[in-house]
Amino acid sequence: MSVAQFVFFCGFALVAVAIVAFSVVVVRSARRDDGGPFVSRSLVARLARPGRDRAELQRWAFYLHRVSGLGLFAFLCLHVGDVSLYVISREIYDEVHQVYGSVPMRFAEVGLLFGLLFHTANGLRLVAVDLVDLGLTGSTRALYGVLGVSVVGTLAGAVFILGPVIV
Amino acid sequence: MADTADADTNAGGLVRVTVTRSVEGTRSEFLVARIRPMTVLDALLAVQREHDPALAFRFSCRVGMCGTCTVRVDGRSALACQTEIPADTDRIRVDPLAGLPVVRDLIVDTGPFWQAWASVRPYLVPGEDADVGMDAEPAVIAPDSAERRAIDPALDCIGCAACFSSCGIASAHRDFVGPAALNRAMVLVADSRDSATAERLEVVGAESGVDRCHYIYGCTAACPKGLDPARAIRRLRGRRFRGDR
Amino acid sequence: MATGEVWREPEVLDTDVAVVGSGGAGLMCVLHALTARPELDVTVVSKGAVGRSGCTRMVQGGYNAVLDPDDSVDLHLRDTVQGGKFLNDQSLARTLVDDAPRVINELETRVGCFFDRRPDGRIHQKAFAGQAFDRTVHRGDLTGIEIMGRLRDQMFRLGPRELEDVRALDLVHDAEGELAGLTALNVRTGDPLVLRARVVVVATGGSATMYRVAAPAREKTGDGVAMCWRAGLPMRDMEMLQFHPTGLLAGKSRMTGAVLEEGLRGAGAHLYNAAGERYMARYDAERMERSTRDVVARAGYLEIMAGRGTDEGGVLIDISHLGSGEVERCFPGMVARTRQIEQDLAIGPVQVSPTAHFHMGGVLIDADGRTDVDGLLVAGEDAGGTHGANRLGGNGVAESTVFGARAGDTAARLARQRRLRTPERTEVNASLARAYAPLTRSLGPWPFDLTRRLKELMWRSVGVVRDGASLEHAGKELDALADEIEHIAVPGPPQVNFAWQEALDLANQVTVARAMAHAAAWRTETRGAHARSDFPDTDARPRYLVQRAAGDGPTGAIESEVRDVEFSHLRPADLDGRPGS
Repeated sequence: MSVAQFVFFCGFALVAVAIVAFSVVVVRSARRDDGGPFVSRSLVARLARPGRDRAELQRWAFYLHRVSGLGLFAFLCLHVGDVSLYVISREIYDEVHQVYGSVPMRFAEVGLLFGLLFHTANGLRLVAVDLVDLGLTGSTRALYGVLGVSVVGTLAGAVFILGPVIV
Repeated sequence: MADTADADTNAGGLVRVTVTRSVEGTRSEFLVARIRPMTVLDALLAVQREHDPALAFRFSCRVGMCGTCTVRVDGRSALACQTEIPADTDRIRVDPLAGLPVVRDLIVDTGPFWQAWASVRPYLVPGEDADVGMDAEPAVIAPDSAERRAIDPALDCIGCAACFSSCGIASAHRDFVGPAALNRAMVLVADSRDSATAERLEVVGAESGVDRCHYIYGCTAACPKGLDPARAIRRLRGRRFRGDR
Repeated sequence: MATGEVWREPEVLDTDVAVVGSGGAGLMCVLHALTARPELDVTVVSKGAVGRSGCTRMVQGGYNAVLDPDDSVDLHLRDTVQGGKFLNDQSLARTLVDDAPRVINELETRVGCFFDRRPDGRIHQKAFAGQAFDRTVHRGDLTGIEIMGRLRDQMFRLGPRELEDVRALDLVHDAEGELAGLTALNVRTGDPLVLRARVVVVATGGSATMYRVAAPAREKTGDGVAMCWRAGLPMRDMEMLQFHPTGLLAGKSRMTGAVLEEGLRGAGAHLYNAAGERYMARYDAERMERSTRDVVARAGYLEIMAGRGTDEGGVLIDISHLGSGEVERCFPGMVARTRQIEQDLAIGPVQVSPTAHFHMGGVLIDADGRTDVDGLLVAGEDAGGTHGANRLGGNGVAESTVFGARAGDTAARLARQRRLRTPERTEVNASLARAYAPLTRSLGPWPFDLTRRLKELMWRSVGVVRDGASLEHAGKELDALADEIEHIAVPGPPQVNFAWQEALDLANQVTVARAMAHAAAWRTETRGAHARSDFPDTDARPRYLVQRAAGDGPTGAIESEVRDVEFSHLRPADLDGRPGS
């Protein structure tokens, strides 16, 4: 591993640490400040029942939206950095970008893809709620759609991202 | 004051009630006899009467109209008097509301909630030339008018702060006036008898206003009166951006 | 007992008008006082949360007021007096019906209430029992929330000083015996308070919670009436306590006593005893379940007491023959309420019992809320006379707001004439010593069992139907209870101590209960809410008992005087031949 690769790797590790740390903050403050139900058997039972109770999922969508938002932002900062290496030196740029092809990085990219898809789709869902007044049940249903799009999109993307190294 | 902690809670029809106390981080556990039907308020009263008269909680009407007994039951913000303990449940946990300073045990200082409420000018401001008082004629407003249809389902707020606590933004101290206050603002903005619309829209459009809402729907899901504050917020946003009622 | 041992030196607050109670009467009073004179310093003292305790908030039905040109205040007066079995103070009843429409105007135009509308856009009025015209203004079936919510919001505009979680203890006087203000207790901090006021308005609400099955909010423990009683004010109609015929029975749950609305019977619900008989046939064969509140309540009580009730001590109301869909459509709130307690009005019978609901008796006042004591005003359920022997549904919230408003106007005027006075030290100390006593004792009963005993006693012996022997028994038992209250000991600190607060509530309840039992023993007839099994007939000439405390302490003697009702507007003969009489 070259120095440049090592520096990039450290940068990416920082992004990962930021995501984990922020997730911890979100979950902890959710537990302390946010008057939503605790994660318990009764909550799971309620979520299993169709109807108004499932609206509770939107609270978790909010947390995921925040975490994915921060993750994407942190990664974009890094990414702007590594792309701008092109201006400095084409060799270093290529060197760093080889890292993107490594196996662990590919797994991380699948995660990034999920974050990107979820954040985008959920953001569009919120715009839809605002524009056409979906209401409680409508917006919950839209959330199912968001999750579906994110999961299916991630799986499809995973085939392309992971395919070359796994098969 | 933990009570006979390890007894089998299923035997003899008992309910284990865990209450978060105001001394930082402490919880008390009590076993109370199950009655049928049984609400969370009944469980708290049983604790106060049989185990610990010092347990502090608030209630008044016990039929979901005063809005003073709001607590978190297994985390969920709800009225203690309207939350049943189902027959198959043998333990509950009760916490004070989120986002408001605790006075003692389950009693919170609702001051911040009411400050937010007061910030939207929650009272009717009749027009300069309007006839007001005991000899003024009430306004003629058709029940099927757009105004009435907007206001009708948004009345009946009991100020219980369940929505405030359940809101991921307001309860997390993110400088948000909260769902109840915005619902009240919408009611008055839609009201043709009121003349402070511009001023009120300025407040709800400011930094701590409608833009903070993330449509988590914690408010609508928690409202014990079945109101839809999220819709009121949406209406206010619509009113601001598109000029519709 | 000296200051400093148990309580701190009381903080002294000066104010122009002190309003005790923050329900409909209290907040209307604040509104009117500050509208008349915005520069006044007004203080609201409330045992619970301001605007969110008490019963105005719990009003479902609505507000009686004459708005329609085809209706008339004379008709409303007639309904009120006829409903009150001619025991009403007719000048108060007249004030009520005259002012009710004006207060509705004010609630709509100034306070911002938004009542339901008719198709033509004017205020909708619905039918209510015992009235010759559809005159009940409402907002869905949660009228109280609209009125109290909007009144509460007015407080943000007017900005009175709000003492929330502060219990008023006693009225106190200066060295010349003039009213100087009141003592109070901050429930949160446990510290005492002396409020010096030019005018004191008492509007705390009634005391129906002293019955085993009772409808009101928990704050309603007769605090205002007991406070006035200790100050020696005259009371009337204390025996008149209205029972609502259909209170929910929910076992030991606190929900017990909550009202199932009158409309169910109007819509055709049947009442059965445990044997499956439609027992109303025995009591009012013609009107059956649609008979008046007092008759239906009495019938249910007699069935239960005769052992024909259910195991839980109730009777059954059944409206399911209308079809579950129809019941759900017409009474969504009531269906939800029964489902909450694991029963279901839509598909079968539900257990009910008469439930203590409203105290018609109280302090003697004039139409401006003035009492025998200069500077002391009383409004709302604390005052007596407006409803006579029985209150019409929809006249309760009207009374609170009408007389609250008038008391506010009077207070604004009086505040100009009266100066601030310094209460006698000995009086303040005596009041505080009484209040803090349960904390100072180390041995003695907790209050909870005594409260239960009081509720059971009142239910059995001063209940829906009374007789001489049980009232005599009740008198003795109440004296014994009053004695025992003097020995209550509560553990814990003075801060937020609910056992202590319950002890103070209980003392007030027993004070009122003694007066009630005493007046009930005096009234040897059956009239309105007061039914005597040993005197089932009604006297031709309505009379009322004026009582006042003659001795100090909870077991002090009661002085009383009998007066004839003055027929200033209507006499019984005026109703002969009229429909509905």
